[in-house]
Amino acid sequence: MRAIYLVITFILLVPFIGNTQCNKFAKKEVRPILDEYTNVGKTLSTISEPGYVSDVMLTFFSGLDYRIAFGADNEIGTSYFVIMDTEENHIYSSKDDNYSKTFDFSTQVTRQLIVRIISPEVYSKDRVMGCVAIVTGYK
Amino acid sequence: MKLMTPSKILIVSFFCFSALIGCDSDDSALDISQVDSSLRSPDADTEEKIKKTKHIYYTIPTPMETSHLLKKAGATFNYRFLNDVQNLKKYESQKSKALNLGVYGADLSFISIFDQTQETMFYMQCVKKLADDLGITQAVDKTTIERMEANVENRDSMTALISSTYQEIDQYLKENDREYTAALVILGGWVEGLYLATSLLNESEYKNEGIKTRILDQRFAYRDLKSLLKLSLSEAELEEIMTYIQPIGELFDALSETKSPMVVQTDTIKKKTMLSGDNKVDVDEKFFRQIHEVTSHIRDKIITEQL
Repeated sequence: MRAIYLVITFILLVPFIGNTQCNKFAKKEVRPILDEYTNVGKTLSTISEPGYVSDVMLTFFSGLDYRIAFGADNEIGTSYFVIMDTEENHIYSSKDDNYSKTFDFSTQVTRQLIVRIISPEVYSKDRVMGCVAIVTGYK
Repeated sequence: MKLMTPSKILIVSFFCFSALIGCDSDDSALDISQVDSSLRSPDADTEEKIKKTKHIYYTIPTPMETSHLLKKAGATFNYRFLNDVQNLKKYESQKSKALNLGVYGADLSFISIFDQTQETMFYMQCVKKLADDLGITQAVDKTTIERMEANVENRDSMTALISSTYQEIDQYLKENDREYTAALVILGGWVEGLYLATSLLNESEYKNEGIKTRILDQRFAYRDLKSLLKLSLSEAELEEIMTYIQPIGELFDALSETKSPMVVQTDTIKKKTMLSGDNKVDVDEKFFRQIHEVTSHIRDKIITEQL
């Protein structure tokens, strides 16, 4: 009975501990990469593991310069991010840009873009988890 | 930063359980491509894995970003459009407090962008009071207020602090499974931002084209908001919230839009990309008058505690 309680508690606490830790990760490790760009307040921080993909839909306005900053725990392999339009046509991949942690851009008209975080599959005997985060800034 | 390993989480769980029970360079630096479905698509193998494990998130433009854009569009500060700080004492229900936390948050962003230093502290106190009442003391603590008081004359620091506070409130509510309250705060902030924009346009006698563009931009925010709410709320909660914003949504949904292909132009030396391509929206003055009327009506209900 006690074991069952423990398992239930474990299951309930994993997302909470994970999200709190990943929010801290975003704040401490990724936000500083924004440099002179003002944090927009649009952040995605979540737990990932090899083989996981997370998409976030963001609106970017004309007339502003944006920076998308990215960070990931090394434990989950070489994660990277991809920028796509709403029909999932690729615009940019950090993998093709030497795994860059930033993408600086502006847009002629206001548009929605998808930022996809990809944590590639890696072979491991144990389950590996870590944080990934996207933080956006403007100037 | 290392995430807790499952074994560490198990140990923590055990103790918790026990205790509880712009491009001007030369052309050679430019990489130009037109985006279409045949370009740069992921390979089939990646596509298959994506389908298995994809998680989708939505976020909407923050009031600070909207305020910044309104100022750039030539809007001028007008105190009478803000929700009066005297209204604070009217808000008794948790729902009303959450909605008006969003409203005062948007007003605070607007004020700080226009350097109204004295009012900034008044509105910050409103935000703090409502956050305290909603049990979000952690997100707007004494230190936050002290840092704001110390930086009240420094707009960059203030905007950074306000953006960060907004984010802390949102994250705190979500981490504590209070998605409904988080949705109300976001909703209140979005309606207030749109109300300020449409009121400023009304004041310009519908002549400011920059503000018109920013109002039209909010159709994207409306779509994001709808998707965000669908993901995070129960059916009953979603239905209730959608009834508030449906009239605004109907106006945005009726707009006719023509898109031209996006052109991606990267300055490889400056490492900056420009996404070109036009979006034409078929719209007339009647639309802006209607959206002002509808938004004012909803906003009035929020600030007079009728929702």
